[in-house]
Amino acid sequence: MSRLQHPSRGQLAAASRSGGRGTSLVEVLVASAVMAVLMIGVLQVFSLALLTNQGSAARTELTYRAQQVIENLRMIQYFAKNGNTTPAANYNVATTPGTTGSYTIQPTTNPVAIPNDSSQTGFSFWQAAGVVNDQNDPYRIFYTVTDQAGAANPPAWADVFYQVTVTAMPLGAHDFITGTSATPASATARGYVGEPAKMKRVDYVAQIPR
Amino acid sequence: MEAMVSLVILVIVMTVVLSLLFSMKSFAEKQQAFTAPRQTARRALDYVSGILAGAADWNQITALTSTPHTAGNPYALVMFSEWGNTTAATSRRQATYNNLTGSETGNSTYVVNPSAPASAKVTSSVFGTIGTDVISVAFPSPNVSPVKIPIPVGGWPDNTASGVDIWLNFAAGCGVAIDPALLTAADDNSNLAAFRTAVGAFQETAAGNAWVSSTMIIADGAGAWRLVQLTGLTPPPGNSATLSSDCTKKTSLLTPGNGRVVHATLKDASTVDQYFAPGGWRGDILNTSAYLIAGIDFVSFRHRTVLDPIDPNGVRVIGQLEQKSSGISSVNSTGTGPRAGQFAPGFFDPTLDGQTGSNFTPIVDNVDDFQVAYIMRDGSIWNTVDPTTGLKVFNYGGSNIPAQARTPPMSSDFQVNCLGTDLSVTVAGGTYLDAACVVGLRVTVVGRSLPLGMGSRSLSGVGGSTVVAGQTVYRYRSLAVEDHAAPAADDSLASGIYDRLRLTTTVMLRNRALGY
Repeated sequence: MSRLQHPSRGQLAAASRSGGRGTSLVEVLVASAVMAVLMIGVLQVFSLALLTNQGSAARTELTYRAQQVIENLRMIQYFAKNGNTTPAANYNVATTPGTTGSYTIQPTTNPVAIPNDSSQTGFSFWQAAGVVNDQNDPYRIFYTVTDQAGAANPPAWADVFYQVTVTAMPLGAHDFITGTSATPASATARGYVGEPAKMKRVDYVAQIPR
Repeated sequence: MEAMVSLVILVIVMTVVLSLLFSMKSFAEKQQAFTAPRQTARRALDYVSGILAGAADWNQITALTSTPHTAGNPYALVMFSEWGNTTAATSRRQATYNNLTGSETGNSTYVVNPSAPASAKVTSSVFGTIGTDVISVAFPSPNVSPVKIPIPVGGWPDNTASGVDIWLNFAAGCGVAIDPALLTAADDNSNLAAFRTAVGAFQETAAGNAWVSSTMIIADGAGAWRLVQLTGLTPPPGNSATLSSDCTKKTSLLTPGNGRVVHATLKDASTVDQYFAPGGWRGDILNTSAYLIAGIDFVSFRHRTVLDPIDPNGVRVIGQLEQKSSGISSVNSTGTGPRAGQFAPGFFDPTLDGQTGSNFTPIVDNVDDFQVAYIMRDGSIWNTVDPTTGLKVFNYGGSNIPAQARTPPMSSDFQVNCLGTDLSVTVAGGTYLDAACVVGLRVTVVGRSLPLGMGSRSLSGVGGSTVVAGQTVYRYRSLAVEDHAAPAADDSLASGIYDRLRLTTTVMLRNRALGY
């Protein structure tokens, strides 16, 4: 068992000479500065967490919308294949004659924008389908219908399916490959919060029966 | 001096830390509130859309080129059911609703939170939340495997409402002896056990503890059909008068047999608690080419507003999505339906499901709205807020749902006309869209967060811009969806308490649009 050792008179005198009996203002200020630096770091972590979460939420929303576009294109293709192009016209989706008596969604050369303004053809249908809300949406959605049968090395399914790519882009994002950009449809359009969210482009690829 | 400076710095640090803590709490709450409605809506849609997409017809229209299509009456979407051997309008019960009002037959309104202040009282209806939809569908049974049992010639001698004796060529449980004469009573017991499994036999808990089957149909070679149930399925050695097996009657190479292996008992079609598809009992089924078919069941979904169980004051309410499946009824029908303890089919029954303790079970909490729109064969979509034409409804008998064909000869008021893009059903007094012509559904739910704490609310709302006439988008306020307009106020409580998200899915009925 150890025994408490009281400082000797000589030790106390040495401590007093070196100023170790208390803390000086300089030491307090230095400690505060260190703490401030740490606090800034901690605060930045929270800020980063917020932006990350906003980005995740944006990506989730964009994915949902892209899925809804695919679902509606499937429905439109079903009707077109049965000779009924009225739904395609309502949604402002181009069709082309297919086999006898039927039509099909027309493969697209350039990405087609989903209308998000009440003045645009098909807006009310895409809005009712839950894909867009209004011209203030923080995203724009495009889709591309690709006929892979004409590709150099067509995949095995190319004769059965079209490849449909839905691109959901936050406002401000730009696709340098296709040249599409998500420009606001109105001056009051709201964007996602934070730069990370604005880079959360979603490409959703699906197959639709030809 | 040093002590004072240190104290000041400590106070500053404490202030920053405390404000940071409160900010963290608020931030965490907001994150939770932001995420919760997305998870809720997605969970609800994933669950419901899978079942709705699998809605299966009991019997397809067999002859689209002739009118009327007497063999048809698809029943994937259950708009109405009929009870008892009658075709009177009073025997018809609605199973699917568009925008409940509380004034439907059998429905009534009540205040969900009577202890709340007057401005916060929420009125709902016993069928479900006012303004929401109810949908009933038939779908492949999770309990009974599909099975098609031939009825041998002469095996259903009395095709009348009260004809109950039926013989079936079911020998799956009999032995494999080449000569059926060698089969014994043990084979019969084994065969009866297999038969009871095949038809989904279970015991009611009502007086008598009767053994009955799941819902099945009898269909003939021309496609005419009706719903049936077997009774008297007591396990051996039970009542041999209502269920018995004779494996020696099975057909084989050596002895053809007459195929009358299992003798079973149909539920008397004239009993008041026997249910039918619209059209009631059919006497025109050919008993010379009939099958007993099992493996399809019913399910229904509705939205209901209830007291929030975590609110100690009994003021706050939440919405929940509920499902009903076939099973033992827990309440007495207020009409001529099942008593408590008897079998009740899974479609909505207004005589049962307005009562506390009915067979509806909550499946997803914090759902604000449930809307179903019908995609017809011609591509038109009903139950839509159309900004150019206004609300569209298909208003048979004031029901705001598609009409359901009733098949002659039981009634002449419906005929199936789902030809090409002709979607109408001719009904006495008008022409209405036919539920048989629905090829897809557009289902929308609105997910809602838990209530935000006072420090985390966004009282100003977000995105409160007018979209089109009559429709607005407010993230923190109830949403306008399909033909359900947004309420003027947010649940009579202050705005900003909840975050919400609307999700919509478009499902094509696999039964009618396979491959899409």
